[in-house]
Amino acid sequence: MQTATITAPELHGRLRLQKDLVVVDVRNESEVREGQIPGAIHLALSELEQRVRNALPNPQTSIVVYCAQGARSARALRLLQQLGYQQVLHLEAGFTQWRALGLPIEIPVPACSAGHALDRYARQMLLGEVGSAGQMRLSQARVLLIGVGGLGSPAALYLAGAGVGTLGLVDPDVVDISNLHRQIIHETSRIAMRKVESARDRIEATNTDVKVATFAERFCSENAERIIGCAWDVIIDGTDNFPTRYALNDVAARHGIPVCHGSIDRFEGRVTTFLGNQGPCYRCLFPRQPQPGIIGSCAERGVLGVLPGVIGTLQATEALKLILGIGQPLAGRLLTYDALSLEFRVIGYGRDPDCSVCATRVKEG
Amino acid sequence: MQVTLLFFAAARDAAGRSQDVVELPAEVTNVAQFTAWLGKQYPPLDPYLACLRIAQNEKFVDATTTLHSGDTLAIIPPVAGG
Repeated sequence: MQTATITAPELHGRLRLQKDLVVVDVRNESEVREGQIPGAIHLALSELEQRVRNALPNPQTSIVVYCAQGARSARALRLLQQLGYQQVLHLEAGFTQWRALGLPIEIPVPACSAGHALDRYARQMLLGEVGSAGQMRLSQARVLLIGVGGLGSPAALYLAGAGVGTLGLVDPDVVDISNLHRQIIHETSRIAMRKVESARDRIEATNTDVKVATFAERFCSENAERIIGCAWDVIIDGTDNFPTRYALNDVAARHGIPVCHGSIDRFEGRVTTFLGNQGPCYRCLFPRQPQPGIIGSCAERGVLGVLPGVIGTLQATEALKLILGIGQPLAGRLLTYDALSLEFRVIGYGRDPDCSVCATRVKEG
Repeated sequence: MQVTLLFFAAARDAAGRSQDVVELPAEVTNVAQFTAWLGKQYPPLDPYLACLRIAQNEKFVDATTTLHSGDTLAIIPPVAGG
């Protein structure tokens, strides 16, 4: 059988250029603790067959597998090929050669909190899908939350709890007493404070590992590039109006950044995920932006306080899955939730061939 | 043909119900015709017709899609709140 190999310097070069290249470390847990290639996913050879489909659902994914010397990775390569993965290489002479050449490595324990990290994140690191490598990924991840209101509140708190390294908060508003029945990151003592500052204080109280970047401004087409351009891995759309949702969609799609969408109305919520360059976007789902005033906001139509708790938490779930590379994202699927009947429905949707954002991207691509 | 209608968000309020089982007139055979019929049958829905989407049996469909007897048709306007 043909053996497809890549050398350590070649891999180092490709990692800079090819953002979607996935590096899979098939060594044992104890070896990984000594250091690994930055950003690598840990799937030990013994559990590779069982876990790889969840971790990497797309068989077209470009994968480089490595072990210590190259023997186990050669076996992993053959296994992945048998499982239908078509673009797999394995690292010649393994991690030993990578390290000998002085190429960058990372120690997969969250850097900022070393000792207590193992305690703080113990319950989620116990999950094979997370482990120490996943926790490292979370600690290096950057998530931008547009809106720190009903949806952004629970999303930010859970992402902070999970140990996401950097949270960006965008919101121009100050805390109002009428927010507090649902915007659980804010407290009565914070009324009249900027929401981004109130949220930052609460996040830091929850988890001092998390760095917080604040943007006390309304997200719009004028500041979109500046805010989005700060190298975010995932965006949580928790905004409260259509112009912002469409503006965010367009700029995130251009940058290829996934958006976890949530929206709420009275007793009903929606969740879906737009994967940047792959799959449909918000304009594919709702091509025609409603005329101003046609569809009312929470302020006009009311909202059950717990509703954004459900929806924002699902958005955070999607963000964590994307960062960890596990499960199936809600791409091309709109999840609807009706609190009154307590029914969830999933409705499929595809890319709009006439989409003003996607269609252009396909041509450019 | 008989179809089941599910109304979401603002469409639910406009139609005054969350579900309905209706007999469509013979000339209503595709999604565009169905949307026009909806506006006549439930006049308060009219302002939403331009922006809402129709899902047929849990899949969003476009204006030219043919309808079938027994379909479940969901009427889904976008929602802005956050």
